[in-house]
Order: sequence, then structure tokens, then C-alpha cells
Amino acid sequence: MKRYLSLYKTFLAQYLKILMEYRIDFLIGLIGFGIIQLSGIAFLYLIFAEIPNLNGWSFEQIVFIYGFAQIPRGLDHLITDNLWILSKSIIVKGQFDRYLLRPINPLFHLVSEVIQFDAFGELLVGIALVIWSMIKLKITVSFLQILLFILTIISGAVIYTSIKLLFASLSFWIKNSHEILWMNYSLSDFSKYPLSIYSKPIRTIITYIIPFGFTAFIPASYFLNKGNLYTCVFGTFAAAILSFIIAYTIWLNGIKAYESSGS
Amino acid sequence: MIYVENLSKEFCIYKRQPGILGSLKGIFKRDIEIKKAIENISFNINKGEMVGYIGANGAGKSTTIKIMTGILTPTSGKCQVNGITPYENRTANAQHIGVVFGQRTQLWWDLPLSETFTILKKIYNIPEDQYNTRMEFLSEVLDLDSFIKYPVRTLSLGQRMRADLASALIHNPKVLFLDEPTIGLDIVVKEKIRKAIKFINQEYETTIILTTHDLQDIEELCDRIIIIDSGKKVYDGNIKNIKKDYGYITTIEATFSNKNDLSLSNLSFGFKLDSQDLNLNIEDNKIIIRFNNKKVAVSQIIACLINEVQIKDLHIYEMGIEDIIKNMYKAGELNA
Amino acid sequence: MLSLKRQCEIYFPFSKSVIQSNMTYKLNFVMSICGGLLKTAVMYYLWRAIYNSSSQTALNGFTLNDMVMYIIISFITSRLITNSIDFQIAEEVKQGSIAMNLIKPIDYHTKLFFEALGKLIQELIFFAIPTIAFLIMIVHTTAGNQQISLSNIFLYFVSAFLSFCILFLINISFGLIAFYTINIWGLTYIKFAITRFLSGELIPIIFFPLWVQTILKFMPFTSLNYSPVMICLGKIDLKQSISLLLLQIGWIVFLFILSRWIWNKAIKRLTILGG
Ligand SMILES: Nc1ncnc2c1ncn2[C@@H]1O[C@H](COP(=O)(O)OP(=O)(O)OP(=O)(O)O)[C@@H](O)[C@H]1O
Ligand SMILES: [Mg+2]
Repeated sequence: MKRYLSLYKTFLAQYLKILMEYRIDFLIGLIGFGIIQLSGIAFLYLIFAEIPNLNGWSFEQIVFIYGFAQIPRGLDHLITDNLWILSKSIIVKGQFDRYLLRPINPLFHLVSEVIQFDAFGELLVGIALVIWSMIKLKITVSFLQILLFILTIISGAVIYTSIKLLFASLSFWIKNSHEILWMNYSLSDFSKYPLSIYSKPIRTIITYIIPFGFTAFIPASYFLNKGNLYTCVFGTFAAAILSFIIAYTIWLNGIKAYESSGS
Repeated sequence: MIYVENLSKEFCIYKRQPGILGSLKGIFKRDIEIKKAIENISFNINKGEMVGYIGANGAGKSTTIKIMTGILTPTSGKCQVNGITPYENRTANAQHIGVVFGQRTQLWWDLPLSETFTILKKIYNIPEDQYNTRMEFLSEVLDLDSFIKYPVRTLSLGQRMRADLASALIHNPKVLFLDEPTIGLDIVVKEKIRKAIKFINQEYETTIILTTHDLQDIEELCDRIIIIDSGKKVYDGNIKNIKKDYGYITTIEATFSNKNDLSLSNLSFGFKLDSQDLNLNIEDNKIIIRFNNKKVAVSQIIACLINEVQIKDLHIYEMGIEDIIKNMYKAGELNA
Repeated sequence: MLSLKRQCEIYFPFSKSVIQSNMTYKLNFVMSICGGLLKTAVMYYLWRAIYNSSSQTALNGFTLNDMVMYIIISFITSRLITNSIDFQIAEEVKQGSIAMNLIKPIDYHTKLFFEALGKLIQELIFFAIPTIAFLIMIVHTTAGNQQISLSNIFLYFVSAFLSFCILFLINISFGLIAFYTINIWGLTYIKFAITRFLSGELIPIIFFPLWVQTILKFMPFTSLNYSPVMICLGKIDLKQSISLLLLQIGWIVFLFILSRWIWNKAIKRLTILGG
């Protein structure tokens, strides 16, 4: 564990150096991801000009959920972006060989290679929205709740990672699973709004099958005093652990099935 | 050290039908072809041995190496490296092997080479003092200092190959797998790499398996060779024997500067050999001689040549591995 | 000047090869449609909840049915007109292969256009036309108060084609920015975010505050999505439709000149830098 942390620190230092070299490009990426999140908020703002509340949720509450959704997403985006490349080209081109040749965990090796600083666009917007809406809603939080908040954020990020890992691992068999991954990743859009607006089958899918519901709405509703501790917080934690176990098992089997490439 | 028994690996290849209609059809039914990359390969390699693993393109060399290094899981058969089954216990195996794939680097593309070594030091848990002596040794034999500060992506092929070799040796592995470590390199770098390999083998008793298409590599480095062809082992033994038995055709190419027209008829070597064992060819001012070196020595041919023409340039080629295998088939040793 | 027919003969193979290579990975095509449908479904549920929460049946003249049609047609339009020419150019600049394209005896712009056209044709045949036909059927059988007339559909396709040309020209100009920065990814992402919002893909422009609507009149964004979709839904009369089409053509002329100008500058830079 200590070895991994120290390794990651070395990588991080290197990436920061590269980042400093390409400051402008970093800024551009940050703005890009920031703008797309903000356009979602602008959309909500326009809508709330027409209606007093959405299914019983006020504008500020919706903004809280929306902002909350960005944080685990951004965290996962920051750390595990290389999974997209895995699904798209690393396996097709037989470039996965190198991850199997070092005495460290191949998943760690893969993921540590890319730190996607663009993700700060999502993270910053998300944090800003959460703080803004908390002030507006006059939500006060105890120290314990801050800890629970961090726990749910990390669990949410783990759920994102697990879903990406699972679908990216399919490429060990089908070579390119980028589009399948993208399709399933699109499901995360559902978690940005209250689950009550969806029909039952969709709610079921988003909670029990591809559990993006746990990355935003479910934990967020606890902090808005609309859900209880057990389902919202511990449910999120359990969902994270379960999805990671499933995804990691598939990943391990994928490695066994890996075929490399002819040249 | 390395123990391989009845190893086989099959690949499934999905065939695509051409055209839009074909691809629609492909949704429902896919043609699968099973490709046997290697079949029932067995061998043993002892500690400190340096073995050449050779065969034509597509013979299955890289596939075998990938199994021994834990990248591929075999379809059937057994394989152990230093008592560990590589594809089942990958990280334990990786700790004591070193691997170079000449075709593809394993280094971090964007990081400076020096940084790469710092990271490898952490990955392999190498103690500081060992790391320092090792680093010193490697930069000396492989001449790393001139480019150690540059990012890997900016290195030339020769520099990158030396870097890859150094990175495979930094943790003092017990076994070293080299898949075409000299591909695309010039003579000077090739020589450097061969020297380093030889030195490592002698100094540290590192077991080495080497694949290559350059017979010179094999000759300078290995006493023992294993030849595979179409996935099957066809020879395992001493290199001198096989060259004596099957690699007997040598080619000499000489460029000469005589003004007068030289023709085959006025070149008489006076050897009483049929065309199988001696074969002459003239193109412009170049003469190509193929001969059986069991029947006549290189020196004899050159001596005769010097008598006849004024030589500007001279090359001597040994037989390539593909031709040796062809000869083995011809001799009926192998069942084609 | 070669005749148009001859030009098409030369360049049409580029379109064909794009279609063919995309169709070898038909699973990707299907999956990307599914992903888009999911995002559209989210919008559908969101709008349903919005209308449920509202005391009125129509917001800014849109009933829920109108809005559902709006987001579906919007989705179809955005699929039709999108192309990744900007990435393609950026990739070629990065790998230095763009110089190769300048040596060949073909016009690079035209070649790119026909490649984008290939994708358009593919989307038309395998997605847009079947989906729209299906929609018409549904609308007719459920006999809602709204009708999609065939003349509107025809005008829609004309307008969507013009949108396609506008986006193509915007993308060309964007791709060429790759000469100046390496993070073209971030830039195109900004472009994507802005065009998606300001073109009315997320929400009809009429929901915007008036001052924003006024500003947007002077920008090409609404011509990308809002115009064709409004034409299709029959929300505007024929005269207005024609004037929207003319506006689109105006933008094409302007952007064409702009992209040529940027291109010439970029080429100069290329020849100076030596690729
Ligand atoms: N990932 C793969 N998928 C399908 N077939 C493969 C794969 N890898 C190798 N093969 C096939 O297996 C056979 C052996 O390949 P291998 O790479 O081991 O040959 P090689 O001896 O290393 O050849 P070379 O000298 O060209 O490197 C070839 O016929 C090749 O086409
Ligand atoms: Mg090989």
C-alpha cells in the first residue's frame, strides 16, 4: 500500500510538471468541462422561470443534487480516465502487454498513467453549486455529516469507476467496447435529477442494475433531509463495494482471456 | 529454471464479411476460425543458459514468450519459470524476470527516462545502494547518459531499445526474455546490445531466452538453439551442428572494377563441383557466388577471385534461418 | 473548373469509404444511437415532470406533446449534422500527415466535405429516415392534435442539410486551431457545450430571456438546430420558413469565406513551419 502511494505521488509530480508546461491547454479543458456543466444549470434556471417547483423540489434543491452529481463524476474522471482508452484502443492494438509485465497491480498501473486534470472543471463547478445551494437552503451540517458526505462522494466515485471498469473490461473479449461503455455511461445523466420523475423500470435499472442513482440523487437526498441515513448513506456505500467486486472480477477474467496481438 | 511442457495456444479469429450486406449478416452469424499459434511445445532451460529461440515469421516465437512472461494464458499445457506458473501468479513472476519486446516499448511514453528508472526502483522495491550500483553499471554498458534526461517519446529506436533493455535489467532478474532486441538497429548499437547481454549472462548467471531473425546475434550469444516452425518445435540443440548440417551454403558478393568485360566463361575456378555446390552469377560489375562451404572453403574462393578480378567491395553472407529450415525439410528430417 | 458531376465522381468514393468503414463497426453505430436515446429519455422524463408541476398546459406555446416532438427531432437533427472533421484535422496536424493531403491532386476541403457527407448519408438511411417515418406513423395513429405535414418534412430535410453545411464549416475552422494549441479536445468540448445550448438542442430558444434571443439573432447557432426543428414541427408558417432557410444560406456564405481565410493562414504557417 505504501509502495503504491509513493508511486502515485511520483506520477502526480510528473504530471504536474507536464501540466505547468501546457497551462493554457489545461485552462481550456477546464473551461470546456465547466461550461458544459453550467449550461445544464442555465437550462434548469430557464425551466424554473416557468414553474414554481419540480415534482416538489425547489430550484436550490435541484441545484444541490445536480452539483452533488458532478463531484463523484469529476473525481472518477480525474483518476481513471485511461479506462476509456483501454476500451477504445489499448487492447485492440495489443498494448496491454506492458501492464502485465511489472510486479504491480495491472489496474493500478493502467490508471496511474493518466491523470485527467480537465476533470477539475466538473469538480469545481460541482463544489461551487453544492456550497451555493447549501447557503441558499440554510442547511447546516455537523462534523459527522461532513464525514458522511465524503464517504458518499468517494462511494459515488467508486461506482463510476466500477461501471467504467466493467464495460471497459468487455474489450478483452470484443476488442473494442468504447461505444458500449459510452452508452452505459450516458445512463449517469439520469442521476442528476430526482429519481421520482422517472417511470418504474428506469428507476429500477438506475438503482439496482447500473447503480448511477447512488452517485447523486440517493445520497444527496439524505443531505436534503428527504431520505434516511441507512438507505441513502450506507446503501450508497454497499452499492459501491458490491459494484466494485463485480467489476473487478470481470476485469480479472478479462485479463485471463487477453489475447495480445500478432505483432 | 524454465520448464515448458506440451504448451499449446489457440487464437479465435472472427472473420468479417465484406460490404454492408456482409456486415449485416455478420450480426447473426460469425465465422470463427481457430488458429493454432503453437502446438505441444516442450523444453527445459537450466540456470545460466542462453538460448536462441528462432523460427520464421509467424512461427510462434512471440506467443511462447508471452506465455512464459504471463501475458497470455495457454490453451493447454504447463509452463513454469523459476517454480512459478506465470499466468497464474503474474506479479510474483514479474518480480524476477525482465522482458524486452523489440517491437514495442514498455516505458512511460511521456516521462523522462531518468524518471522512469526512479519509478521502476519503487515498483521493484530495489534498495538504494543496489539501485545505484546497478544504474552505474547499466549506464556504462549501454551508454545511457547521453539521453537519460529526455522523454521516452523523443528517443531514437536504438536509444529506446537500450533504455528498454536497461529497464528490464534494473532489478537484476533471474530470467531475461528478449523478443527481437536488435530489430532495426545499426551495427554499432547491435554490437553494444550483444555485449551487454553477454556480460549480464556471464556476470550474474542470468538465464536468457532470445528470439531474433539475425543469425549473427545467435552465433555470438547462444550455444543452444530451439527452432520452431508453424508452431511446432523442430530442433533443439547445439548451434554448430545445425549450421554444419544445413547451413552450408555461403554467398559471396563482390563488386569489381575491371574495365574489360568479365563473363562466366572466362572465370574458371578449377573446382570440380556441380551447380548445386557452386553457382556463379554476374550482374553489371557485381559477381555473386553461392557455394557449399563443406566442399570448398571461403578462403579458397576468395583467393581465386582475387586472381581473376580487382575487387572493390566484398560481402560474405551466411545462410538465413528460413533457408536452414527449408534445407531441413529438404533433407527429410522434418515431415512437412 | 470541373463540372459538378465530374467532381462528384471524383469525391464520392470518399463518402462511400466512410460509410463502409463505419458499417464494419455497426455495433458501435447502434450503441451510439442507444446512448443518445438514453439522454433523450432523460429529457423526456424531465419535461414530463416539468409539465406536471406547471399549472398551464402550454409553456411558451409548447404543449408536452410539442416538447416531446421537439426533443426527438432535435436529437435526430444533431445526429444528422454532427461530424468529427475538427478532430480529424487536429489528428492529421498532430501526426504531420496533413502535408500529405496538400500534395495530392485533390482539394482538401472538398474531400473533407464528402467524408462528412458520407456520415450524413449513413445517418439518413439507417437512422433519420426510419425514425421519422416511425414518428409520422405514431402521430397519425394516436391522432393527436398535431400533424407533421409532408411539405414540412421536405423543408426540414433541406434546412437540416444547410445546418450540416454550417456545422461543417465551423468545424473546419475549429480543426485548424490545432495548429496553435495541442488541447483541441478541450476546445471542441467548449464548442460542443456552447453550440448544444445556444442552438436550442436542450431547450427551445423561445424559453430564453428576450435579450439573449436578440443577441442570438446575430449568431449562427440557432440556424444549426432551432430552425430545422421549428420548420419540421410546423411551428412557423411557410414565409418564415423560407426566410430561415435564406438566413442559413447567408451563414454558409459567410462561414465559407471565413474558413477559407483561416485555411490560407494556416497553410502559410504550415509551409513556414515545415509541417
Ligand atoms: N492476438 C492474436 N490473435 C490472433 N492470432 C494471433 C495473435 N497473436 C499471434 N497470432 C498468430 O499466431 C501465430 C504466431 O504468432 P507469433 O507472433 O508468435 O509469431 P512470431 O514467431 O513471433 O513471428 P515474428 O517473427 O513475425 O515476430 C501467427 O500466425 C499469428 O498470426
Ligand atoms: Mg514475434
